[in-house]
Amino acid sequence: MSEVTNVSIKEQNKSAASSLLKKNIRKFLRNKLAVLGLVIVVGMVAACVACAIAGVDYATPDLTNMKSAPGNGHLFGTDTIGRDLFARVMFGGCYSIFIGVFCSVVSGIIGAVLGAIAGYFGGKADMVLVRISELFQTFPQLVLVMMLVAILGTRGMVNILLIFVFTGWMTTFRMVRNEFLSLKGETYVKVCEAFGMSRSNIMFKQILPNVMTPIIVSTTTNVAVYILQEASLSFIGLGIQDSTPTWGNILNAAKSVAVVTNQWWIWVFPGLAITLFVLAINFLGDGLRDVLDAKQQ
Amino acid sequence: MLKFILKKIALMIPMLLVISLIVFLGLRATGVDPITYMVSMEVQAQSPELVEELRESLGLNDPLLVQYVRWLGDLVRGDLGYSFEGQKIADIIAVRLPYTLELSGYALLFSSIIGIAIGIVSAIRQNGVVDYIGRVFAVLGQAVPQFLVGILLIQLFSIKLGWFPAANRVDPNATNAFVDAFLHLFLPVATLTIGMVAVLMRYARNTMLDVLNSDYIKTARSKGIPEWKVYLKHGFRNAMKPVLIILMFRIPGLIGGSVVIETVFSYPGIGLTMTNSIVSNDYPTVMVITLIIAAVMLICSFMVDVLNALLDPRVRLGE
Amino acid sequence: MKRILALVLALTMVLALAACGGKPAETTTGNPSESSGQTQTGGDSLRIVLSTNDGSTTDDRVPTPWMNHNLATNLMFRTLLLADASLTETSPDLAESVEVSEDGLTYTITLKEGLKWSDGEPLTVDDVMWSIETVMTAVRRNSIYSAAFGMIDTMTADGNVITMTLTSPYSEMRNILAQFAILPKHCLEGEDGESIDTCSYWTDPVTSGYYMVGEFNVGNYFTLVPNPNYEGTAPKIQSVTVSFVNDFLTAAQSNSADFLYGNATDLVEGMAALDNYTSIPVDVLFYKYFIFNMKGIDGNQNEAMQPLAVRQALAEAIDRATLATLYPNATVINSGVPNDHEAYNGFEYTFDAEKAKADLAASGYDMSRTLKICYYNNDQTSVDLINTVVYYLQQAGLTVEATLSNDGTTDLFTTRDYDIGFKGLSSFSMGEWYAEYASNSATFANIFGGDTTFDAAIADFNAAITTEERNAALTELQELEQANLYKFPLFTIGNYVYVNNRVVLPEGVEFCNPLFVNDIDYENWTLS
Repeated sequence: MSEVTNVSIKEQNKSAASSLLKKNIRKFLRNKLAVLGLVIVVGMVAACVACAIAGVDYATPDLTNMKSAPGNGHLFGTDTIGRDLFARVMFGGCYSIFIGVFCSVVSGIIGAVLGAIAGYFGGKADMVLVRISELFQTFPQLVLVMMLVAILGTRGMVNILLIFVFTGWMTTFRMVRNEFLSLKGETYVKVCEAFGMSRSNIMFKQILPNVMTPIIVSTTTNVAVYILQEASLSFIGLGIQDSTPTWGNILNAAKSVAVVTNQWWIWVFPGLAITLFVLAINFLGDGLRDVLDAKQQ
Repeated sequence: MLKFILKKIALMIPMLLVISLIVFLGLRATGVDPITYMVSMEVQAQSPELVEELRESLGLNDPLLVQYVRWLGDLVRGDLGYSFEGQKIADIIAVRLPYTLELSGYALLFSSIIGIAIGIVSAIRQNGVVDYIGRVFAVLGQAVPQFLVGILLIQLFSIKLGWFPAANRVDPNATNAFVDAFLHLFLPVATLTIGMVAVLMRYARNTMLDVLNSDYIKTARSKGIPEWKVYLKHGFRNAMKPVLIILMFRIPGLIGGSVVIETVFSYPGIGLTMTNSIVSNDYPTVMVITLIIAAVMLICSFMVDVLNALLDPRVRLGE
Repeated sequence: MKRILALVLALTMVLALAACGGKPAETTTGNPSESSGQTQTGGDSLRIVLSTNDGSTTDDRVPTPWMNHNLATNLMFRTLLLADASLTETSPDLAESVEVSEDGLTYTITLKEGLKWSDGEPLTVDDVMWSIETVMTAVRRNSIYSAAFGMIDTMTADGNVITMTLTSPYSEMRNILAQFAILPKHCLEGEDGESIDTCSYWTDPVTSGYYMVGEFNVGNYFTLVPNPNYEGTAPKIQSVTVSFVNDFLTAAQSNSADFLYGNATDLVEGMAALDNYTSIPVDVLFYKYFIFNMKGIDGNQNEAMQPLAVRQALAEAIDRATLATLYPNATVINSGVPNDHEAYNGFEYTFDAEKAKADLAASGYDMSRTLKICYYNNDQTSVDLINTVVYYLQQAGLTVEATLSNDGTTDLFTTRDYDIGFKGLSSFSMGEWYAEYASNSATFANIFGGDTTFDAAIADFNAAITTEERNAALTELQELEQANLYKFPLFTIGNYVYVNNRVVLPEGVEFCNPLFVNDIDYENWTLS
């Protein structure tokens, strides 16, 4: 009895938190699709990274052995110039997943910070930021790609990263701003202000944690969005240069009607890789939302 | 209300101006010289004075700002200029824009009906059979790259089965305009719809779930109001507001999607023109199409604001 | 209430979007042809397809025959003479005869009597002379015309006879005249060089051939209907539809084309699987080659490529025989003269990876420098070829960067930020390949620095009349090009014409390079 009463408030909080965490994990584990998603995402990332570290050969063409069907030492067969497709899909995974994760995290951060500023301060800052976000929203991504490619003269990965980040932060921005607008009137914010807490402290330490759920969920699902966008840009010929084996670039072989009809493995495997990963990310995102969303508890 | 709408409209004009300025300067910064597209290498090499004359007459030697103002002035007067291929841009737009509106309009219509319907049923019967099947299929539609869906649909329905044409919008031998339109639109609209359904379905499901879990629904239930009435009267109506907003926000994405889909289906819309002009550095055309897309997006976001204001008076008062 | 209003508003918007698209503006011009038959079989119309994918055609007008030919324009516009499939033997068409003087300097062209344009106006020597003069000012034209007509000194007309004198003999003049489409002066004389092939004339052109445009549907197709003023034998096929498509193979697979052509691996492999098409190999000089960026006309040199030893070492590093397997029917060449031609001098570029490495080291090339390759074809086979070449050069120890250009001509000849360019040339004759070396070439002078080394030999070739003279000139040219190595030839690739089995071709029809025109006995084509 006395033991219990001696537990400090801090530790109580801790144990409450850990039990909440346990509860959340249990809840997550009950969501079979989400668990499946997590397993696939982790598995694919691990496989791709492992292959990249092992240094699989994705670049050596073998014209005596082009377009050969899966088997004969090539798990996924070979592509139109005899490169090993398995190695390419694995290596491509590293690039594509990196693009997806990098862009969604960076654009998420930018969106959250700007959204917090706009929502918390309101007034002029808000107006300017909202206008800028609208400007970016109305600007067709393709035109930005074209301008950047033409100005920089290359179709490198940096271009794509820049463009995706530039054109991707607005959704998070709007979401965070709206949350801030409604939260800044809450009593606890007023109390913090009355205590004289610094504004950045209030914004990022007090209010932001309450908005983290939608940010985490949207950042997760955005990974999938960027991977798909990269594939689309490659398809219309504005993606990263062909020598970089992103999933989109590998899948580009499906442009050739003959490949689609005669060499299914050349497009099925990269297509499957994209689809599976995007699916898994979406399931994971849904699962996270179900678990983290306080309203549903 | 009228004041609010007028104010919003007034705000669109400076936005368009800023966008036009960015596009103009940005595309000029690419260093593309129109002369190289208008005059063959041979003529350039043999008669530089002719080239210089042309440059002067096109006003390419003037300061950029002067060129911008002139371009804008022409634009306002309805003169959209000429593409590098020598076509009147106004003609290009007049032919292609309706095709794209047609394509994306139908896609929006079908995807919202299907997406919202599945979303609501999924939410009401959460974790039921419909919920699982609907979610898996919808998410699958979103997970496969759209152009791949398009290519596969062409392979299956145009080439293997021969049910639908594989390209274009109008058939030279068509006997019935309606049948022709249906045949040509079916596959591209289906492709776009497949991609859109997932987003709308997820969103409709999530908001519906939020609403169904909210206190007033619980109260309504506890009052003994029949389930269907709860769903229809309280659930659906409240869930639709954010869904409508996301619907408006999907329109730009739809236009982006149609760029890719029009390429796959050789569909002669504005998206295909955009892709071709971008690939061939035809920036007079790119500038005009960019402005049109921007205007469409601004109108959509204006609609969202108006909807918001109608649904929630606080927004209006807050402004 | 407001909510319901909002719902209604949103719904109307969605519907309005769908509806305003529902009836796209009618954009047809001219007299609509009788529409008949079903979609898939095409009824009694010959179905031609034009590709909007290769940059040469836009889908809102008839493409100018002054750039490249295609079956559709061949059926609308006639030339003075008609070539056979080899493009070297000619027979009369608009001209009754074309006589050449002994010294090869004077041409006498006699036009047929009573020729008419499709609008009923007479087709006269004025149209011919105007066309020849105007093509020289057109900003988009095939360089074979400017090369040939640039030789013309004077041109006079008397009745229906044109007398043309040249500054120096040009042996291919007759063959070029057999390619050159005559256009109506009365419709086009108000246009300038920029608008001559883009003006509104091209949606309903006045023609001289079998057909004229019936209906033009921008973005989709145009139809051809018989030209009432055509004086020759009318074709058996009464109507033709010409569709703009993105991809020939898809059109063929969905059985919506009767005539198409190509050389891409994709297309050839895909077409081989279709049993409702006949494939006809055509004899074409389609060169694939690398060009070295040497020196601008302004004297601005690309230092790294200057030593001949470097260029030779790069050539040794590339295995052309293996690259050729990427194409359905490629033949390795060592100059502009194919290996099976009697004038071929027997020289060969041999692949030797080890020797290439050693030679590169000996040449003093800075191995830390990035070698830049520029290419502009974005089809899968070209991309594959470039990726393989990059691999070969990396094996030789080089750092290589390959860039896909969206605008080949500008990047290869104006921007010039590359060492090796990959190029294709669907050549009219060997002469066109060698004309690229001329110091006055509008394009190549920008990368070969206007070098005059080849000029004398090119002039000899142009003036050669007999086979011996020609072969002697070719020998000289081959030695020069192999000694200088400005262009590294890879191979010529085979072209195919595909005809749907529902088209019944008359006996003995032969096709030429599909970008040019020859006598295909079209009057006797029928549809089964």
